[in-house]
Amino acid sequence: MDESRPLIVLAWVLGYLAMCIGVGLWALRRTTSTRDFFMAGRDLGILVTGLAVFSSTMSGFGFVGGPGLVYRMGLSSAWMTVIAPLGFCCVFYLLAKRLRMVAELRESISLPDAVAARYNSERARLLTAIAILLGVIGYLGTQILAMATVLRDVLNNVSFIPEVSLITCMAIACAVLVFYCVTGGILASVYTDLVQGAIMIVAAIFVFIAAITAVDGGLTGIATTLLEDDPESISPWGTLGMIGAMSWFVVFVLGMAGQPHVITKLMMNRRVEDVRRTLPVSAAGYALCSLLWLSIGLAMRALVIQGGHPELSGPDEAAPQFLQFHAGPMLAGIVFAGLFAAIMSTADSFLNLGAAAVVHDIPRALTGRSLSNELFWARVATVLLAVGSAIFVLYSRQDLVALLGAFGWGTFAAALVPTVAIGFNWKRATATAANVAIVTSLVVNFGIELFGIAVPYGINAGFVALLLSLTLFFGISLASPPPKLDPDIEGVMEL
Amino acid sequence: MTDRLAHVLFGLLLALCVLFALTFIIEEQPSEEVVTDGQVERVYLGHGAAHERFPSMDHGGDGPARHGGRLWMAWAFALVQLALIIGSLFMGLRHPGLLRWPLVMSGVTLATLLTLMVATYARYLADPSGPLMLGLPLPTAWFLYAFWPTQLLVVVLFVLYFHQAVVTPEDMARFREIVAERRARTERG
Repeated sequence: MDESRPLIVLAWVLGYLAMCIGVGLWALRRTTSTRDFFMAGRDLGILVTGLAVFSSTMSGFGFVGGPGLVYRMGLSSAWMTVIAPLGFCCVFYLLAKRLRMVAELRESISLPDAVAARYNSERARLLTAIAILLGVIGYLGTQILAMATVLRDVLNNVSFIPEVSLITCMAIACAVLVFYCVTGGILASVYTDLVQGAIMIVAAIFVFIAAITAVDGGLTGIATTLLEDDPESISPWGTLGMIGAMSWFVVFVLGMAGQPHVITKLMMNRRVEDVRRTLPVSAAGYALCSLLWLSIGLAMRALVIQGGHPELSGPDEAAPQFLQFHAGPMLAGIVFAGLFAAIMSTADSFLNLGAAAVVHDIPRALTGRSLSNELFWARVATVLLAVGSAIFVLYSRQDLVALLGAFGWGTFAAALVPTVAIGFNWKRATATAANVAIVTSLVVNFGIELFGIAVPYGINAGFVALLLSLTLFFGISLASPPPKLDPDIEGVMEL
Repeated sequence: MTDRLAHVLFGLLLALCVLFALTFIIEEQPSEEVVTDGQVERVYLGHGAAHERFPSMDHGGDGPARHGGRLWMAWAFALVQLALIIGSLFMGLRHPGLLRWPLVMSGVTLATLLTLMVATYARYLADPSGPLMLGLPLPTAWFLYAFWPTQLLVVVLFVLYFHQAVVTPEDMARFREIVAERRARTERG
């Protein structure tokens, strides 16, 4: 291996981490209230919001897990990423106006705040906060582990650095993440998202070019190789088959409007009308990053089949192995920085969401008021959540980690699409229906994972939960008398 | 959202529930019987199996065996989901006005492209060795070169019709009134 490669990669990664610390220090002076800490003062511009929305959506999964899925299954997982423009449309058509308006009207500083205002129900607030907190712990733990694993590989490839343990890397990664999240809250998070989004777009474009040219014959060579080995892998539905792959369609399109780390960004923009320009920024940014997801996976599958690369020990090796052996050192450095960016842009959102749930929403739901000196406790909760998630993922049974990791997208979708995405647009939606939707989501997603229930045709658990929760939500609401809404909430829902 | 739209969406959800229930009735194919710990277990291979040469990959197996006779179910599954998604977009539009038909036509266009993908895939199942279109098999070319960018139509419609259908000046004026009324009520205690 080229001796300069590990150093170039290390330089990019350290430079990126230093940028995060700098942003944290800059944001510290601008974060003086919980409104600043959780809502960035509701003062974000178009570009910042647009890039923050897309980079929060594209986590480390998009840079490592996604290419791994394509390597393993062919184009099946394209139904998670290629359909993203429609997903962003669901977010913006459904929530950009009313969620932002309710947030300003009721001075909401969290999503459960807005849910409580909409349904006039502290139980709905509590259940939303619990669903978010459970998802945060699972998601955050896996993101922190991913950061530590990548950092360990980067450091251990440098010859003059002694062997560094996973725990040490976890401590370093957590320290940087916690520093800028504690000092600057969501303000630091979205401004690092701005840089992260830009890095991710640049990395994705260059990686796409490198991946296509890494295989003899380019895209035709890749397609021909996969076609001769397994025609199903290069079909639109990959090895998973039509029904299994299509079960991701509605989960990742409509489900995007239920991801709290995405939709809470809509509560933070400066003007309601700004979303007109924010949607194209988010949709285009994500579409460009999807090129990396697809191209690395397809290229590595073709290279292994052709014999141009040894078989991988596991699908998640697709992206790291590609960067190590088929990409130049500068590109590898940018992509590793992009990978850190992707992981941290999601992790910081989740940290902030979890802190809000612990410090603001759950106390308010149970006692009727938030904690005093809320900003201080928000910072304490941020530290404890990060450390707690790291310890949990290190020392828990791996099946429990996998359970909570799988919890993520599908559970948020099933819990919050009915409650928020539909409920904020439909006056007839009742608090009972919302509460049933959230409980259904938790029970079905956990139940399928915990009991290892096999759904036919490889249909994913998130689809089952979303279908059930939406059907119950509509059914219960239609069967109930129309609820009485607060006049100001009703006024906003009429707009 | 009008109650009529809510009923339409509920109907689509029930249709999706029926299709989901069918997956328990119409057995996945192909399958094989495997003996594990002395017990015979049926293993379904219709959603992929380990590749024979490269265990880190999956293999789709016999395409006609797993999709033959089930294409209609997968096509319906896709179309109902698409209708649900496009219908859901209308939930956020209190007064869709001029945006109504362009949005409907975008949905029809996407549905047409989905149908083309399924139709060309049916021929692909019979003979995967057909000509490539811009480097990809025909159904995949329809997916990545047509279905993918066509979604941006819905993005463009949002931008073009924003002030007429999404957030109008009247909306903002009324919103400011609502906020002022609420603030006044709060101050009066």
